[in-house]
Amino acid sequence: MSTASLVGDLENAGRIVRYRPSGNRKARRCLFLTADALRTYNDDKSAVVLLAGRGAIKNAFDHWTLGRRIWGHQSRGIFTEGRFLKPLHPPPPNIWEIKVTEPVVQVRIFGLFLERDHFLVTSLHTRKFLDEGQNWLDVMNKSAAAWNALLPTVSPLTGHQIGDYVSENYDEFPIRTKGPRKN
Amino acid sequence: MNFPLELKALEKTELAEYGLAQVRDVAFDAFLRMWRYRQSQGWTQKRLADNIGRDKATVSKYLRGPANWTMRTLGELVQGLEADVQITIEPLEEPSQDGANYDAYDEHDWNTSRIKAVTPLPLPLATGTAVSSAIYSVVKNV
Repeated sequence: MSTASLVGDLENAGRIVRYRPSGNRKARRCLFLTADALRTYNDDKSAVVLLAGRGAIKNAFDHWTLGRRIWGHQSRGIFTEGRFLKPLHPPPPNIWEIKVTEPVVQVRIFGLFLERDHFLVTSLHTRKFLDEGQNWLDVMNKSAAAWNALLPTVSPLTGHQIGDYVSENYDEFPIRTKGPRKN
Repeated sequence: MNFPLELKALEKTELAEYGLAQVRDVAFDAFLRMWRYRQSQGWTQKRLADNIGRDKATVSKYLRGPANWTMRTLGELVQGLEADVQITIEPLEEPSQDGANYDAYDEHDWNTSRIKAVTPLPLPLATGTAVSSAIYSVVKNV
Protein backbone atom coordinates (compact mmCIF):
# COMPACT_ATOMS: atom_id res chain seq x y z
CA MET A 1 0.00 0.00 0.00
CA SER A 2 1.42 3.40 -0.97
CA THR A 3 2.03 6.21 1.48
CA ALA A 4 -0.63 8.26 -0.31
CA SER A 5 -3.18 5.49 0.32
CA LEU A 6 -2.19 5.17 3.98
CA VAL A 7 -2.33 8.90 4.50
CA GLY A 8 -5.66 9.07 2.69
CA ASP A 9 -7.07 6.37 4.96
CA LEU A 10 -5.83 8.17 8.09
CA GLU A 11 -7.27 11.47 6.86
CA ASN A 12 -10.60 9.88 5.99
CA ALA A 13 -10.70 8.24 9.42
CA GLY A 14 -10.03 11.63 11.04
CA ARG A 15 -6.81 10.47 12.70
CA ILE A 16 -4.54 13.01 11.03
CA VAL A 17 -5.22 16.35 9.41
CA ARG A 18 -3.24 18.16 6.74
CA TYR A 19 -1.95 21.70 7.04
CA ARG A 20 -2.74 23.88 4.06
CA PRO A 21 -1.07 27.22 3.42
CA SER A 22 -3.45 30.18 3.47
CA GLY A 23 -5.32 31.40 0.40
CA ASN A 24 -4.43 30.01 -2.99
CA ARG A 25 -0.83 29.27 -2.11
CA LYS A 26 0.32 25.94 -3.50
CA ALA A 27 2.02 23.55 -1.11
CA ARG A 28 5.56 22.51 -2.09
CA ARG A 29 5.81 20.10 0.82
CA CYS A 30 3.18 18.26 2.88
CA LEU A 31 2.58 18.53 6.60
CA PHE A 32 0.14 16.46 8.63
CA LEU A 33 -0.77 16.73 12.31
CA THR A 34 -1.84 13.97 14.65
CA ALA A 35 -4.87 14.45 16.89
CA ASP A 36 -2.62 15.28 19.85
CA ALA A 37 -0.64 17.86 17.92
CA LEU A 38 -3.78 19.47 16.55
CA ARG A 39 -5.35 19.55 20.01
CA THR A 40 -2.32 21.38 21.38
CA TYR A 41 -2.36 23.89 18.52
CA ASN A 42 -6.09 24.54 18.85
CA ASP A 43 -6.10 24.78 22.65
CA ASP A 44 -6.05 28.42 23.80
CA LYS A 45 -4.72 27.24 27.16
CA SER A 46 -1.88 24.99 25.97
CA ALA A 47 1.59 26.09 27.05
CA VAL A 48 2.84 26.65 23.50
CA VAL A 49 -0.13 28.84 22.59
CA LEU A 50 -0.07 30.80 25.84
CA LEU A 51 3.70 31.32 25.95
CA ALA A 52 4.79 31.43 22.30
CA GLY A 53 1.59 32.03 20.37
CA ARG A 54 -0.04 30.33 17.40
CA GLY A 55 1.30 32.93 14.95
CA ALA A 56 4.92 31.80 15.16
CA ILE A 57 3.91 28.14 14.94
CA LYS A 58 1.71 28.76 11.91
CA ASN A 59 4.62 30.55 10.27
CA ALA A 60 6.79 27.48 10.84
CA PHE A 61 4.12 25.33 9.19
CA ASP A 62 4.12 27.79 6.29
CA HIS A 63 7.91 27.72 6.06
CA TRP A 64 7.75 23.98 5.53
CA THR A 65 4.71 23.69 3.28
CA LEU A 66 5.53 26.70 1.11
CA GLY A 67 8.92 25.20 0.40
CA ARG A 68 10.99 27.95 1.94
CA ARG A 69 14.68 27.18 2.23
CA ILE A 70 16.01 24.63 4.70
CA TRP A 71 19.16 26.50 5.66
CA GLY A 72 22.11 24.65 7.08
CA HIS A 73 24.58 26.18 9.47
CA GLN A 74 27.75 26.94 7.57
CA SER A 75 31.19 26.86 9.14
CA ARG A 76 34.38 26.85 7.08
CA GLY A 77 32.49 25.65 4.04
CA ILE A 78 30.89 22.70 5.84
CA PHE A 79 27.14 22.53 6.45
CA THR A 80 25.52 21.06 9.54
CA GLU A 81 21.89 21.12 10.60
CA GLY A 82 20.50 24.62 10.67
CA ARG A 83 18.04 26.80 12.44
CA PHE A 84 14.78 25.29 11.15
CA LEU A 85 14.89 21.52 10.79
CA LYS A 86 16.98 19.17 12.90
CA PRO A 87 17.24 15.38 13.25
CA LEU A 88 17.24 14.47 16.94
CA HIS A 89 19.88 12.23 18.37
CA PRO A 90 18.62 8.63 18.64
CA PRO A 91 17.33 6.54 20.28
CA PRO A 92 14.56 6.48 19.36
CA PRO A 93 15.56 6.92 15.72
CA ASN A 94 14.02 9.08 13.00
CA ILE A 95 12.56 11.76 15.26
CA TRP A 96 12.92 15.35 14.02
CA GLU A 97 12.24 18.78 15.34
CA ILE A 98 11.14 21.93 13.60
CA LYS A 99 12.53 24.82 15.60
CA VAL A 100 10.45 27.91 16.30
CA THR A 101 13.12 30.17 17.70
CA GLU A 102 11.95 33.74 17.31
CA PRO A 103 9.52 34.19 20.22
CA VAL A 104 11.16 34.62 23.64
CA VAL A 105 9.64 31.28 24.64
CA GLN A 106 10.79 28.93 21.91
CA VAL A 107 8.77 26.01 20.60
CA ARG A 108 9.82 22.67 19.20
CA ILE A 109 7.59 20.81 16.76
CA PHE A 110 8.25 17.08 16.89
CA GLY A 111 7.59 14.65 14.07
CA LEU A 112 8.74 12.01 11.63
CA PHE A 113 8.96 11.76 7.87
CA LEU A 114 6.32 9.73 6.05
CA GLU A 115 8.34 10.08 2.89
CA ARG A 116 10.39 12.76 1.20
CA ASP A 117 8.74 16.19 1.67
CA HIS A 118 6.03 14.62 3.89
CA PHE A 119 6.29 15.48 7.58
CA LEU A 120 3.96 14.15 10.27
CA VAL A 121 3.78 16.38 13.36
CA THR A 122 3.30 14.34 16.52
CA SER A 123 3.50 17.02 19.22
CA LEU A 124 4.44 20.60 20.10
CA HIS A 125 6.28 21.73 23.23
CA THR A 126 8.01 24.75 24.65
CA ARG A 127 11.78 24.54 24.78
CA LYS A 128 11.57 25.34 28.48
CA PHE A 129 9.46 22.25 29.15
CA LEU A 130 11.82 20.04 27.15
CA ASP A 131 14.87 21.16 29.08
CA GLU A 132 13.36 20.03 32.37
CA GLY A 133 14.50 16.56 33.43
CA GLN A 134 14.06 13.79 30.89
CA ASN A 135 11.40 15.51 28.85
CA TRP A 136 13.35 15.49 25.56
CA LEU A 137 13.63 11.73 25.69
CA ASP A 138 10.06 11.24 26.91
CA VAL A 139 8.68 13.36 24.07
CA MET A 140 10.82 11.53 21.52
CA ASN A 141 9.56 8.19 22.81
CA LYS A 142 5.99 9.45 22.65
CA SER A 143 6.56 10.56 19.06
CA ALA A 144 7.73 7.08 18.16
CA ALA A 145 4.70 5.60 19.97
CA ALA A 146 2.33 7.95 18.12
CA TRP A 147 3.83 6.81 14.83
CA ASN A 148 3.47 3.14 15.76
CA ALA A 149 -0.16 3.68 16.74
CA LEU A 150 -0.96 5.29 13.40
CA LEU A 151 1.30 3.35 11.05
CA PRO A 152 2.25 0.07 12.75
CA THR A 153 3.32 -1.61 9.52
CA VAL A 154 5.30 1.27 8.05
CA SER A 155 8.77 2.54 8.95
CA PRO A 156 9.45 6.25 8.95
CA LEU A 157 11.74 7.56 6.25
CA THR A 158 15.43 7.06 6.98
CA GLY A 159 18.27 8.77 5.15
CA HIS A 160 21.88 9.85 5.39
CA GLN A 161 21.62 13.47 4.37
CA ILE A 162 18.96 16.15 4.29
CA GLY A 163 18.48 15.68 0.56
CA ASP A 164 17.01 12.26 1.34
CA TYR A 165 14.20 14.05 3.20
CA VAL A 166 13.70 17.25 1.23
CA SER A 167 13.61 17.43 -2.55
CA GLU A 168 14.34 21.10 -3.20
CA ASN A 169 15.54 24.39 -1.75
CA TYR A 170 17.90 23.16 0.96
CA ASP A 171 21.52 23.19 2.06
CA GLU A 172 22.87 19.66 2.00
CA PHE A 173 24.05 18.43 5.39
CA PRO A 174 24.64 14.95 6.78
CA ILE A 175 22.30 13.31 9.28
CA ARG A 176 24.35 12.71 12.42
CA THR A 177 23.39 9.66 14.45
CA LYS A 178 26.58 9.19 16.43
CA GLY A 179 28.44 11.23 19.00
CA PRO A 180 27.19 12.83 22.21
CA ARG A 181 23.49 13.57 22.59
CA LYS A 182 22.90 17.29 22.27
CA ASN A 183 19.13 17.53 22.34
CA MET B 1 -12.81 10.02 18.81
CA ASN B 2 -13.78 13.65 19.08
CA PHE B 3 -11.23 15.10 16.66
CA PRO B 4 -11.78 18.55 15.19
CA LEU B 5 -10.57 18.32 11.62
CA GLU B 6 -9.35 21.87 11.22
CA LEU B 7 -6.66 24.06 12.61
CA LYS B 8 -8.12 26.88 14.59
CA ALA B 9 -8.07 30.18 12.71
CA LEU B 10 -5.87 32.85 14.18
CA GLU B 11 -7.45 35.48 16.41
CA LYS B 12 -6.97 39.07 15.34
CA THR B 13 -4.32 39.58 17.99
CA GLU B 14 -2.49 36.46 16.77
CA LEU B 15 -2.47 37.72 13.19
CA ALA B 16 0.05 40.39 14.13
CA GLU B 17 2.41 37.79 15.61
CA TYR B 18 1.97 35.62 12.53
CA GLY B 19 2.65 38.57 10.23
CA LEU B 20 5.76 39.51 12.19
CA ALA B 21 7.07 35.92 12.11
CA GLN B 22 6.41 35.76 8.37
CA VAL B 23 8.15 39.05 7.61
CA ARG B 24 11.15 38.10 9.75
CA ASP B 25 11.37 34.72 8.06
CA VAL B 26 11.19 36.11 4.54
CA ALA B 27 13.60 38.95 5.34
CA PHE B 28 16.13 36.54 6.84
CA ASP B 29 15.77 34.24 3.85
CA ALA B 30 16.46 37.11 1.46
CA PHE B 31 19.39 38.31 3.54
CA LEU B 32 21.01 34.87 3.70
CA ARG B 33 20.62 34.38 -0.05
CA MET B 34 22.44 37.63 -0.69
CA TRP B 35 25.04 36.77 1.94
CA ARG B 36 25.75 33.42 0.28
CA TYR B 37 26.14 35.22 -3.03
CA ARG B 38 28.65 37.59 -1.48
CA GLN B 39 30.45 34.66 0.16
CA SER B 40 30.79 33.06 -3.27
CA GLN B 41 32.59 36.25 -4.29
CA GLY B 42 35.03 35.86 -1.42
CA TRP B 43 33.39 38.08 1.19
CA THR B 44 34.03 37.34 4.86
CA GLN B 45 32.04 38.23 7.96
CA LYS B 46 34.75 40.76 8.74
CA ARG B 47 34.13 42.59 5.49
CA LEU B 48 30.40 42.79 6.19
CA ALA B 49 31.15 43.91 9.75
CA ASP B 50 33.52 46.60 8.48
CA ASN B 51 30.93 47.77 5.96
CA ILE B 52 28.34 48.41 8.68
CA GLY B 53 30.79 49.57 11.32
CA ARG B 54 30.16 46.74 13.74
CA ASP B 55 32.23 43.91 15.15
CA LYS B 56 32.34 40.40 13.73
CA ALA B 57 30.45 38.97 16.72
CA THR B 58 27.44 41.14 15.89
CA VAL B 59 27.44 39.98 12.28
CA SER B 60 27.77 36.39 13.46
CA LYS B 61 24.69 36.92 15.65
CA TYR B 62 22.76 38.44 12.73
CA LEU B 63 23.63 35.39 10.64
CA ARG B 64 22.24 32.98 13.23
CA GLY B 65 18.71 34.36 13.04
CA PRO B 66 16.50 37.44 12.92
CA ALA B 67 15.34 37.26 16.55
CA ASN B 68 16.22 40.83 17.44
CA TRP B 69 16.14 42.36 14.00
CA THR B 70 14.34 45.62 13.40
CA MET B 71 13.68 47.35 10.10
CA ARG B 72 16.85 49.29 10.83
CA THR B 73 18.85 46.06 11.13
CA LEU B 74 17.59 44.84 7.78
CA GLY B 75 18.35 48.17 6.15
CA GLU B 76 21.81 48.18 7.69
CA LEU B 77 22.53 44.67 6.41
CA VAL B 78 21.22 45.40 2.91
CA GLN B 79 23.55 48.37 2.68
CA GLY B 80 26.39 46.39 4.23
CA LEU B 81 25.95 43.78 1.53
CA GLU B 82 26.12 46.53 -1.10
CA ALA B 83 22.72 45.44 -2.31
CA ASP B 84 19.28 46.75 -3.15
CA VAL B 85 16.00 45.59 -1.63
CA GLN B 86 12.60 44.93 -3.16
CA ILE B 87 9.53 43.91 -1.19
CA THR B 88 6.58 42.17 -2.79
CA ILE B 89 3.21 41.76 -1.11
CA GLU B 90 0.78 39.49 -2.93
CA PRO B 91 -2.98 39.03 -2.48
CA LEU B 92 -3.69 35.67 -0.83
CA GLU B 93 -6.64 34.94 -3.10
CA GLU B 94 -4.43 34.87 -6.18
CA PRO B 95 -1.87 32.19 -7.06
CA SER B 96 1.61 32.93 -5.80
CA GLN B 97 4.03 34.60 -8.19
CA ASP B 98 6.77 32.15 -7.26
CA GLY B 99 5.99 30.01 -10.29
CA ALA B 100 4.73 26.92 -8.41
CA ASN B 101 2.73 24.92 -10.94
CA TYR B 102 1.98 21.89 -8.81
CA ASP B 103 0.67 21.20 -5.33
CA ALA B 104 2.38 18.68 -3.09
CA TYR B 105 -1.02 17.45 -1.86
CA ASP B 106 -2.17 16.55 -5.38
CA GLU B 107 -1.23 12.89 -4.99
CA HIS B 108 -3.29 12.70 -1.81
CA ASP B 109 -6.25 14.48 -3.41
CA TRP B 110 -5.99 12.06 -6.30
CA ASN B 111 -6.08 9.18 -3.84
CA THR B 112 -9.09 10.59 -2.01
CA SER B 113 -11.02 11.58 -5.13
CA ARG B 114 -10.40 8.17 -6.68
CA ILE B 115 -12.03 6.48 -3.71
CA LYS B 116 -15.01 8.82 -3.85
CA ALA B 117 -15.42 8.41 -7.58
CA VAL B 118 -15.14 4.65 -7.70
CA THR B 119 -17.54 3.96 -4.83
CA PRO B 120 -20.79 4.90 -6.65
CA LEU B 121 -19.78 3.17 -9.87
CA PRO B 122 -22.70 0.92 -10.90
CA LEU B 123 -21.91 -2.77 -11.26
CA PRO B 124 -21.87 -4.60 -13.55
CA LEU B 125 -20.63 -2.14 -16.14
CA ALA B 126 -23.35 -2.38 -18.73
CA THR B 127 -22.39 0.61 -20.83
CA GLY B 128 -19.45 2.91 -21.30
CA THR B 129 -21.41 5.83 -19.92
CA ALA B 130 -20.89 4.98 -16.27
CA VAL B 131 -17.17 4.56 -16.78
CA SER B 132 -16.90 7.87 -18.59
CA SER B 133 -18.78 9.74 -15.90
CA ALA B 134 -16.65 8.17 -13.15
CA ILE B 135 -13.46 9.15 -14.91
CA TYR B 136 -14.81 12.64 -15.45
CA SER B 137 -15.49 12.93 -11.70
CA VAL B 138 -11.93 12.03 -10.86
CA VAL B 139 -10.44 14.45 -13.35
CA LYS B 140 -12.77 17.19 -12.23
CA ASN B 141 -11.90 16.64 -8.57
CA VAL B 142 -8.19 16.59 -9.22
